[in-house]
Amino acid sequence: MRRRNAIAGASARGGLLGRVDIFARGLIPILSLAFLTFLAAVPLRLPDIELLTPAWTLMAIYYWAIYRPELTPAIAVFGIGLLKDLLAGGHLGLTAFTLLIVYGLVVSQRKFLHGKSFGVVWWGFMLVAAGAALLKWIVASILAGWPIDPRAQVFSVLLTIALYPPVVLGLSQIHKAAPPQAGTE
Amino acid sequence: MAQPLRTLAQRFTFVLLIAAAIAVMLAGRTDPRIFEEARIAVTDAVAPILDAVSQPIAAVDKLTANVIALRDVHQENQRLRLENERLLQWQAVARQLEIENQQLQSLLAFQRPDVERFVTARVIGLGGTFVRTVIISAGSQQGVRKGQVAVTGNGLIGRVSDVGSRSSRVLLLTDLNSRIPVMVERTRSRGILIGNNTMHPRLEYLSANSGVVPGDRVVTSGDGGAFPPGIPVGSVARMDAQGLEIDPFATATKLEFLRLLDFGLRGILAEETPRPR
Repeated sequence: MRRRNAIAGASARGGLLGRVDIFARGLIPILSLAFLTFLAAVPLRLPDIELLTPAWTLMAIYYWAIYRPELTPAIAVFGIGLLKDLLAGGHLGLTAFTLLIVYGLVVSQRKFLHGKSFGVVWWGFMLVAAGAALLKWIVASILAGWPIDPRAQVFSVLLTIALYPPVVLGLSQIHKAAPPQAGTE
Repeated sequence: MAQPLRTLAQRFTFVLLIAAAIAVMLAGRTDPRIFEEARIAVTDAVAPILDAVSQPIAAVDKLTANVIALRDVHQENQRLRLENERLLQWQAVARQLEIENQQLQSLLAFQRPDVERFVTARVIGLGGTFVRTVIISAGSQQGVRKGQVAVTGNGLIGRVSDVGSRSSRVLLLTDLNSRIPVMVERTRSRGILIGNNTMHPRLEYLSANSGVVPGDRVVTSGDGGAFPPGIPVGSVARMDAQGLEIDPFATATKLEFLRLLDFGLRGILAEETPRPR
């Protein structure tokens, strides 16, 4: 798909340079995912709150799954999930699994979400963030062998939902730099 | 024309990846060590990035503290505002250094004669919601070894669980996988401190009728040979039928530096610990 984009774009711009340019800009969504994954590992030192990490990566997965799923294929989502797990030091595969489920779900519903007002998309994100956290909590509890205290997870979801608008503002800015969509949906 | 075929291929890839994620989880559950090298390699590779990104955040954090302090000074000195402006700029610089100095000095205050050597490291990364670990900017090159005890100026915070060449991972005492032999200092009753991913780890397997009351200090007991005895851990916060809740003296929020102590103990835990999974 990305290749087709590149070819379509290159014929419009012409030349190898144009093709490389389109290809590089096609990587923007994946790079944004990687950046947010690193950000999740950085200590934010929120005053006197438990170690809280909003699900930065989830926000970007949701965004790109709605608007440009062809630039963030499932294999990239899987890779980002593994990277997150390796960095966090948790169960390897847990985040990869959750993100893939979210990705699959959102891609299947993108016809509904695409082109809707921000409020609707945000509302959808609230459901997705809560569902993803619940799924992660269930799987993590099964792997741990007993129910984990869910409080930190609840705060993390609230923080994630609250931080979604500014993150999406940033993503929609860099979205403009991504190559235009080729053909029809 | 190729659309249905591609969708089918995508579906297949998707299902395959989900299966791969589940397989990885199960493999990690069966033997948490098999991904250890990958974990260390990734942490090592990313450490410089995290180090670079965490510094401005630490600076902003200090700046916020400065701004709050400056506002108060401002109110007291409204009439002298203009005259003080230049001095206040210097004060901002001084306060920044002061905070850093205090943090480093409080680390120095934790001295023990039986420590063989120590390493002071910056905290550059955190685990996720289900993992209470921190990544620090020191590895085997700086003398970090698996099993070393991590303390802040206040007390015990965790133990080194993974060591890379320039970064390491510290398993905090609040993590689900953390088990630390401790005792109540006053009554000498022993138990195991079990992390539960909240700010209040639990003290369990305490000998019955131990007469512990809230506020009692809890220190490491030295059982098992992984931790030396007597490192301050926390105080008893609450009691119920299952055990006690502990308020750790050292918390990971706003943690910027920590110190790793090497007591030369190569106890059982150095090799056979529950590892972060």
